[in-house]
Amino acid sequence: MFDVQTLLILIPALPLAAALATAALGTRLLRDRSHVPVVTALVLSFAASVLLVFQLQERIEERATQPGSSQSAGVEEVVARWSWINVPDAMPHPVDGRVETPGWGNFNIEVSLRADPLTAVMLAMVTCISALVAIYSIGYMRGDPGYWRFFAYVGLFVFSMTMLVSANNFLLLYVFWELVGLCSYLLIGFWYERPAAAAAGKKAFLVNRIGDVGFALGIFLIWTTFGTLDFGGVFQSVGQHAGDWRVTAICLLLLIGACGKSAQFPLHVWLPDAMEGPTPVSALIHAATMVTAGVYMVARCTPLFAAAPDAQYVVAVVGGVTALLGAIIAITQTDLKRILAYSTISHLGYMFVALGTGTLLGITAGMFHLITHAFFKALLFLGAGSVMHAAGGVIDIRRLGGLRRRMPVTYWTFLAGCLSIAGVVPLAGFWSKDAILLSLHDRSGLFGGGLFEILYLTTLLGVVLIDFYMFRPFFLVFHGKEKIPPEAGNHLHESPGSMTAPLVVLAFGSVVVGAYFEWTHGFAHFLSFTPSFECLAQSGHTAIGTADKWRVAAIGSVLTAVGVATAAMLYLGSGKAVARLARAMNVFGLYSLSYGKFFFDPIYNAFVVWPLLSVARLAAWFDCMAIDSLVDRCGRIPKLAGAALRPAQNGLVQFYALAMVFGVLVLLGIMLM
Amino acid sequence: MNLLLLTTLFLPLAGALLLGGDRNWARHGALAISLAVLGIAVVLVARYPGGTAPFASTDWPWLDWTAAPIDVRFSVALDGLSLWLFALTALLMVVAVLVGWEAIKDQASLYYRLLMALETGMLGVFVARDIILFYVFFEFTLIPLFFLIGIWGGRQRRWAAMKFFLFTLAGSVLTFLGLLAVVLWVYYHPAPEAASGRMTFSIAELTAALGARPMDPTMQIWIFLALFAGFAVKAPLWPLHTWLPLAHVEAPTAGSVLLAGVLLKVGVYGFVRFSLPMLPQAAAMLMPWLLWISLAGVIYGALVALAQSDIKRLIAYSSVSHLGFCTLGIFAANRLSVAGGVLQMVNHGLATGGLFAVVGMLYERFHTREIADFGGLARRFPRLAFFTLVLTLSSIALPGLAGFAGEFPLLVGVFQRGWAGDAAPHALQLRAIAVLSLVGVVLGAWYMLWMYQRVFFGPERTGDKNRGSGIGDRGSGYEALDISNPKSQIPHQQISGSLSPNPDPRIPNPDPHAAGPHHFPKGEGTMRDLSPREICCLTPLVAMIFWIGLQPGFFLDRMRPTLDDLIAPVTRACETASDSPPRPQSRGVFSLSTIHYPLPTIHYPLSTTHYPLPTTHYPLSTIHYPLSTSQ
Amino acid sequence: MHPEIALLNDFLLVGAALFGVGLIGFVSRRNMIVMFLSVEIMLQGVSLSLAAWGRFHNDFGGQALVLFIIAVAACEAAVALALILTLFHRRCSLDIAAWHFLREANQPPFRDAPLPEEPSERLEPWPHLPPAGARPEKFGEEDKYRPKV
Repeated sequence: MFDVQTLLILIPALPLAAALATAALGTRLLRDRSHVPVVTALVLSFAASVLLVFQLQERIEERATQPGSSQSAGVEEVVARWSWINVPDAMPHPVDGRVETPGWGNFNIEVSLRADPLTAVMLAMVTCISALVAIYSIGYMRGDPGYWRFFAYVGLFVFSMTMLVSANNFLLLYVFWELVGLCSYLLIGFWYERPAAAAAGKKAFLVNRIGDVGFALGIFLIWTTFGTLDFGGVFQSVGQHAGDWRVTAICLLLLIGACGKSAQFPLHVWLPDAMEGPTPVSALIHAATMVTAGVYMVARCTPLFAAAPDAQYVVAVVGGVTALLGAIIAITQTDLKRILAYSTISHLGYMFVALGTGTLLGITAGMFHLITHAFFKALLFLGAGSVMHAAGGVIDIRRLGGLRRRMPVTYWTFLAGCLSIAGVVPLAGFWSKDAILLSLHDRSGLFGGGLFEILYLTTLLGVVLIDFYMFRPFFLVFHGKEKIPPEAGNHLHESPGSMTAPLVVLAFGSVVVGAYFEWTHGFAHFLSFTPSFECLAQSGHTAIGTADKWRVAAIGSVLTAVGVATAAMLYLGSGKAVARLARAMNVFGLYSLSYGKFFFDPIYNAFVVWPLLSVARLAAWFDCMAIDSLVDRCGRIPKLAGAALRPAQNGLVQFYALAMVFGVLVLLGIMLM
Repeated sequence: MNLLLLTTLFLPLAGALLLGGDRNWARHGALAISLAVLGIAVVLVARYPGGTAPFASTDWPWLDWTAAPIDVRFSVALDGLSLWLFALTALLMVVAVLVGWEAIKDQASLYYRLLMALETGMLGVFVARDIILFYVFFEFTLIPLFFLIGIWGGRQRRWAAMKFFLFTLAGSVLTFLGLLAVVLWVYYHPAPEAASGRMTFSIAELTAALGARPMDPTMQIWIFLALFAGFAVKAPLWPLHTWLPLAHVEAPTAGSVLLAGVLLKVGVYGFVRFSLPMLPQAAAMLMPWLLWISLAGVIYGALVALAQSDIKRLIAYSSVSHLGFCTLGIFAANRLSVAGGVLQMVNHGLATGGLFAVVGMLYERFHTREIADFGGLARRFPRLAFFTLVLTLSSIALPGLAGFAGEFPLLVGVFQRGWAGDAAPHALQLRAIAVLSLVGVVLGAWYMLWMYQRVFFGPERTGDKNRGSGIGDRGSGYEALDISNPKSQIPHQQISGSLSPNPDPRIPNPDPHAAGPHHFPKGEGTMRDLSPREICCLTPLVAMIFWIGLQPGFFLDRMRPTLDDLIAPVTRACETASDSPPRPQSRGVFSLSTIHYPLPTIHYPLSTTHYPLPTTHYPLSTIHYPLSTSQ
Repeated sequence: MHPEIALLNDFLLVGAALFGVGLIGFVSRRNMIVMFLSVEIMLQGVSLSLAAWGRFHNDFGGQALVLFIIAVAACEAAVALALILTLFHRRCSLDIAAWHFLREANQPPFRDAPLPEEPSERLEPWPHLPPAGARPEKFGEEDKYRPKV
């Protein structure tokens, strides 16, 4: 009924139409029903995405029956609707004998969408999570004066995000890259009357802008190197540029963009502040979808990164550093949402590490983790929102306790999320984490690379930390003595059905999605038909023995158990052990470092923001005092010249006569000489 | 002879002469005229056939003395370069008339007559096809604006008007000399086959003549600098920009809108129309310098804007930054960058003109422009907040809006100038410039969003500490006011009731004593959200911003053939330069001083008719590279 | 020396002397009429030189010019005297310095330099007679005023 092209257009078009309708009618007609168009559109989009996945699956199966030259040929589909800018022959042909791609230098930017397995997976994930979050928001945002505004923004966001993942050229990717940033800005600052929210929105936008500048420079360099911005054209000709420093530079610049959007070190500072937004927004944008755009982009640009191994190392190192950094900071935070935010940062770091391995195994592992992470992190955020909703907005884990019996649904679903994120055996997190560990293990054995050996150990350490920092708030909030903050009133109760239903669905997903993919081997197989990953399939990697698999799984599980057990020991008992541990750690300053978030914000303020503002003030002073006063001084020149000549006009006729005489004498003298 | 184009020129002029009566007559008359001109402009745009031929041209002899060979003509036409600027002027004029609808009370008929005169001047600049006619219009725009600033301006209006007038006049006198030098050079170096003995002032003929017989490069540089003096002041390029903030701050809203929207473009237009096609080798040789100056404007303007506390000043400095982007693209002189630069001129006119209109609306309500006096306006002025947000986002080049559609091709072009191949001369400088220009993008987002945050977000604080009636007057007039605010139609108590239990403390607590509609000054009608007039004022701008942002191809395709023609000589000059054998080997050395321009060495008296025309001997090849290894 | 040249020399010397006298008069005098006369004298000096040159070159141009100058001088005298008359009516003074206020603004006004104090020749009346019936006190000043008496 729907072919791929129609679906590809419908998926973003529906949320956009809903957003526009809500924005136009929200104030007058819809009001309390503002969620109707958006939720409907998102559910339909999700259905379309699932259809898209099935249709691509069909094509893949067709391919399998008729082996051809190229694995992914015939799977992808491109729709171009209109030409945004078309400047033919915008760039002269290269003079230094570099290889030209066909269509070199035609600055023809089409609004074209592509469907391939990578896109389809992302689309399905985005629309699924966003539909669930939108349903959740019906209950969560009810009564807010900006109810319609919220849903309009969410619709706009889903439109931008779906366009982002289905864009077919770098410029379009950049366009929606910035647009999701705008939606993030608007939604973080949704309660704009709170100065903290407004400031957080601005900060998020600016840090993202810094990343975007890197991205933009990467695009410029792609343009001057490849002469085109289409994914297809660039990826086809990248093989001819192997070893070119430009490709490495492009990858690093793209990585800067990815770091900004995916909150990787050192541009991760905006994500914790972004928790000022409504909790569904945190779940949707700042955990499940938008922040994974960086991961998606790096995965999409795999051919580029494959041609620049140095850049891949950088990706892996950035990911490793971020994974550890986020985990260490998350241990000591007291705001449940910030703990989850740092956890997100850390998990995105895991995905980057996996992408940095540069093997098909690693990249599919990273994408696998992206999907499972979307489920359990959205679940955890929504659970945290449910707690907030009940507790009158209190989110400080020290002020909450023993909510288990009051909020059973939230409790069980949160537990499912925690177990999944911790990587307990049959749950989703286990499989994807295991895949990442396996890919690192595989890579560290491949070239005897010391780097990946270290990263492997780092991620193993991270596993312990993840379990610890996730079960710490869990035990504090749901177990122990019942602590209910006064803001909650005396009627702390479970959230309404519209909020718990998405929790249950997500919990179900968090439990089974990993196992399903793993047992059917469907995910990696499906993804491997992405054209971007062809270069990997050709390069090949050693098959991993079953023993390796078991060993890695066993190590991971043991470490998981250690982490959970530690958290249970410390936080199910009295608080004394915790305090002692904190004191002990603070000897090395570790506790302060972690609690102070490694002092990134003060450092950036001191070394970037403050100097820039000072320079700005200096420039303003200079403008006023130097340039403008110079101008005014120039304006005084005629006046001064007049003042100098004025005494000659003294009103005495004899003086004038004498001046004439002397003038005549001078002229005479000149003539005689 | 084209009646439509002539009507757009003479209808406002007639208005300037004939408008009169009381304020109501004058403003309605001015609105009718500007709307008529806008309608004609739309018709002209719709009929524009594309291509490079001048469209809707009229060519009459004007100063045609038999005694002298002077042949000055009244020659007007549209082409791809002027088309959108022309349309922009017609559009902004309507906005300018509407924006002062209520605010202008004294001497209103004079005010509207001056506006109409200004419209003639601005339209004339863009359509003139004769150097003298161009210069007449170029200078003519000064006079109405001088009076507009000097009579209806702010506290320092006299000083601002005088400074604006003298500064621009001082520059444009040199420009006039430069234009005359071009004319005389062509007159004294006629092509051998066309010995008509006629001194032509036609821009097209001069460009063609100089394309066929290029001027000596040293001469070109001198004339380029002369032209630069006037255009750079007008644009304004750093460091000749200081008249701009003053004039903007002091000008009435309509003056600011037109100044930012149109008059700044005249300078950049001059570069594209005269400097680049007539003096291509000078443009090629001076390119690094020009780009450095533009870059300085971009970053410096952004930094100074960051430190401003007055909204209007902030936007004025943002204009310096944005015009720096425009000239960056234009001096980089390749297809993408010039197309982007010209489109960016239009976009800047729409976005910044709109922002100045918004500042005017704020000032009408609060009688202050200090950012610190505002806060949380989004609550009570949601429409104003929406329009301002779109204008702000366009100004910081958010994709999908106009600013991006201009800025992105522009930056790609600038980048391409330095990075496409290693062959470009001064490659290292150009590369550094291309990368550094993106700093301006980040700073631009910073100051604009910061301003927006401080004015529209945060706890509500409706400034106006000077009058003191804004905050103190509470508890009265609440029901009667703010009918247009959709959010306030939800009764206050209902919000509070439905918030219990409060789902999230982050929802601002509607404390009736801390914030809320109680702060409306009693009976002050202007404390409402935008009136229909103001919405009419901003809607076309926002609509255009969306249109350009979503379909820039429509606009670029119509201007590109002309632009390609105009910059073709520069492109050739750059290519010649890059083909010259001694290529810069000193790629590791970052220094302006490695290039020696033979500036003050050769003197050509204008009256000498025999020039050694250097067609093959081209001084770029004489550039000394002290560190080059090939020598 | 050729007699013609000697003759020319003499005439030119006289002409130059006349011019110099006129010049000095114009510059140093403040009475407008005298200044006018000085101008006339300068004019005559020039006319004399012209006539001498005309004779030397055997050319009537010089003398024609002299006649022309005389005519112009007559006109000039009419205009100048009328002007002076008007100025006199305005200020009741022929002093040109009375019009120095036409100078540029902000310039110091012209002041006549103070004349040196002239030594007083006049003696005070003497003798001082004492009131009737009273004895003169002392004639101490006698030595001063009438040393030889």
